[in-house]
Amino acid sequence: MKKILIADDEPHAIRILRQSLERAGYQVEGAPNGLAALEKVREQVPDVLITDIQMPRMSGKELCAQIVEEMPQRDLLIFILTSRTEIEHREWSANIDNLVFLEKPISIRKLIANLDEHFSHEKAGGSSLAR
Amino acid sequence: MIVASLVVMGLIVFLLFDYQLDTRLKQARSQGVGLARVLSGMAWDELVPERGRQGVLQALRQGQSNPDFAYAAVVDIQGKPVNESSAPGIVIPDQPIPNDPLAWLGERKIHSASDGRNFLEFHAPVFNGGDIRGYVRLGYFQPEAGLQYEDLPFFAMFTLPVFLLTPLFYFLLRREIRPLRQMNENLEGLIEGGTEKRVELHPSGELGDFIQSFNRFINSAQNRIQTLESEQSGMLTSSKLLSYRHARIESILKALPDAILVIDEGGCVNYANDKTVALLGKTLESIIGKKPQEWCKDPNLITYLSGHNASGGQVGYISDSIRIAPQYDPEKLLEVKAYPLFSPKDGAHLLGNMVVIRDCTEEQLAKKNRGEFIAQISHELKTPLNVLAMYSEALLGEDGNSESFRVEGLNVIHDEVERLSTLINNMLAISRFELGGIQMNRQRVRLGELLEDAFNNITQSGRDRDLEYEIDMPREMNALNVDKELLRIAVNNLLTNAIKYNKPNGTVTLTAQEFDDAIEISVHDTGVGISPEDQQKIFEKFYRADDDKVREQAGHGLGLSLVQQIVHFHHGKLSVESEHGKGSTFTIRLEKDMATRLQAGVV
Repeated sequence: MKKILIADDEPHAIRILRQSLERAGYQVEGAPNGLAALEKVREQVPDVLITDIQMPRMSGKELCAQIVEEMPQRDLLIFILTSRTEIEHREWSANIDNLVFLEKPISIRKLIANLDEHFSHEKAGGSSLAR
Repeated sequence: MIVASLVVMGLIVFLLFDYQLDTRLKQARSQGVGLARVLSGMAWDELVPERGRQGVLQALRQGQSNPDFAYAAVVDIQGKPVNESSAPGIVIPDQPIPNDPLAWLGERKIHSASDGRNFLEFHAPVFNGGDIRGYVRLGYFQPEAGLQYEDLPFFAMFTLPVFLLTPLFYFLLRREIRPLRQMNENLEGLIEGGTEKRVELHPSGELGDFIQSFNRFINSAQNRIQTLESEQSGMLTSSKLLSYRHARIESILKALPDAILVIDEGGCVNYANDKTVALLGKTLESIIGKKPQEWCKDPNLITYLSGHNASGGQVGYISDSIRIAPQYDPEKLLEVKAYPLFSPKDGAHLLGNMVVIRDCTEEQLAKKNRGEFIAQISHELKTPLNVLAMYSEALLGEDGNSESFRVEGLNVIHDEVERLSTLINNMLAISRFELGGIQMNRQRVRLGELLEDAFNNITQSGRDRDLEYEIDMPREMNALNVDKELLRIAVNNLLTNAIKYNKPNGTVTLTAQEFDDAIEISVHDTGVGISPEDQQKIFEKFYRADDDKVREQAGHGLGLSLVQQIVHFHHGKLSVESEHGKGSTFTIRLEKDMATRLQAGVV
C-alpha cells in the first residue's frame, strides 16, 4: 500500500483528503505544519507528499528544500497545493524533481486519478508524471 | 552792535590820546637832548652872564615854542643854581645832580613837591678847561593823559558822525543781513529735517541774486531729496517683495519631501535644499560648489548626472530616472531624476539641471508588500474554498451516502463559509477604511456577550489545540455604544494573532476591565513577543516583524493595522506591552463618555 503524507495547517483539509484517499486504497498520514511533516519524512519516507505552502513553523517551500537537501536520492512524489499567484512564482522549485503544482481549489477525484496513473506507470516501470 | 561800536569808538579815542602823548614825549626828548648838548658845549660865561644882562637861558625861554617847556637852569657843582629861567608860575625843583661823571648827559623824572607837577629833566655837565664847572638842567612838563581843551573840536568832529552813523549802519546791516539770517534758519531747518522753506524777501542787487540762486539751489536739493526718497522707498518695497518671494521659494523648497539639487552648466552643484542632507547623507558644505565626482561615490549616479549634463542641451529633454541605494543605508532606495533648466529669456539656453532625489523606499516596500498581500489574500481565500470544494465533491460522490459524513461535511462547509465570510468582512473593512467612506453602525452593545462570542468562536475553531484559553471579565459590564461588527473584527484579530504567534502549550487570555470612565479589553499571549523597535511599526499596514517565528506564520500584515483603525475610529486607544520571547498584551481602551458622545452624534 502506497503511503501518502499530507501537510496542511487546515485540519478539515487533512480530514477530507485522508478519508477520500484511504477509500481509494492509500495509507494516509497527516501533519499540521512543515516541521511535523519533515519529522515524519525523516522517520519514514512516504511515497507521496501532499503539502500546502503557507503553514506555521515551516512552510511548504522550506519543507521541500529540506527534503531535497537531506534526501537527494529520494523516490518521492510531491504535490504542492497552492493558489495561482504562487504557481506563477515557482522559480524556487526549479531543482526539485517530481514536483507537481496543484491549484486550489483542487479536485480530489483528479488527484486520485493522477496518483493512480502515476503508480500504475511505476508498476510498468518508470514515472510518467510530467511536471 | 551798539556796544561794539562804542567800544570801537573808545578804542579809537584811547589810541589817539596815546599817540598824542607819545608825540609830545618824543618832541620834548629830542628838543631837551639837543638843547642840553648845545648848552653843555657853551662857555660858562655865556651861560652865567653878569648881573643885569640877558643870558642864553632867558633867550631860550622867550624863543620857546614848545608848550611843554618848563624851565632851564645852570647849577654849580654843589647843585646851587647860578642862573635860571622858567615858564611863568613854575618853581624849579631843587634836586641835586647825581655825581656821576660818566652820565654827562642824563634824563630823569622829577616830582615837584611844591606844586605837585611832574617834570622830565635833561641835564648835562658844563666844562671849564677840563674840569666840571657845573651843570645845565632843562625841564619839560611830563606829558600826561587827559583831554586837552584844544583837542575837543577834533574829537567832537570825529565822534559825532560815528554816533550818528552807527545806528544807521546797524539798521542797514540788519536789513541786508535779514535774508541771510533767514537762509541760515532755513538751512538749519533742512538739517533737522523740517518742512520746506524759502527766503521770502527779494532784495535787489548781488545779495538778491545770491538769494535767488540759493532758493533755486534749495529747490533743486529738495527735489533731488524727494526723488531719492521715493526711489529709496520704491527700492525698499521691491527688496521687501523680493525677500518675501525669496523666503517663500526657500520655504517651499524646504518643505518639499524630496531633495532638490541644482547643477550648473559647469557641472557644479550650486543649490541643494536641506532634504539633500538627509537623503544623500552629505552636508550641504560638502556638496555645494563641487562636481558630483567630488562628493559622490556611486558610479551610477556620477554617470547619470554628468551624462545628463552633456545631453541635456535639447529643449524638452527629460531623461529617465535611475534608482540608487545610498551609501549609508543599502536598504534604502532613492529615485534620481534630472530636469534641464532653461533660461526664461532664451528658451534654448541651458542653465543647468535640476535634480530631484526622492526616497522611494516606502513606495517600493509597499509595492512589494502589496504583491505579498495579494498572494496572502488569495491564499486566505483559497484555503477555505479548497476545503469547501473537496467536501462538496466528496458529498456528491459515494461518501455522500454516509449519513455521518453528510453531517460532518455540512458542518465543515458551514464553518468554512463562516470563515470565508469573516475574511471577506475583514477585507471589506480594510477597503472601507482605505476609501475613507466608512459609516459607523452604532449599537448599544453588551461587551460581555460580544467578547464571549468572539472567544468561543476562536477556541472552538481550535486551530492549535495545544494552547490554553482563558477568559476573565466581570459578570456585569455597562453597555457601550460601538460598531459591533468592527469591534468583533478587532477582538477577533487580536485573538487570532495571540494564537498564531504563541508558543506550544502557551496561553491565550482575554480580559475585560471596567473603570469609571472607560472599559479596557486585553488580549494576552505567551508567545514570541515583539521587540521594542517592532512595537513602533506593527500597526503599520503590511508590516510584519522580521522574525523567523513571525514569518513562518501565515499573515498579511493587515490584522493589527485594521485593529488600530477600528479602535481609533471609536476614539479609543490601542496599546501594546511586550517582551521579546515572553509574550505580548494588546489593550483596547474605549472611553465611556466618548461612547456617549458618539451616541449623541457630537463626534
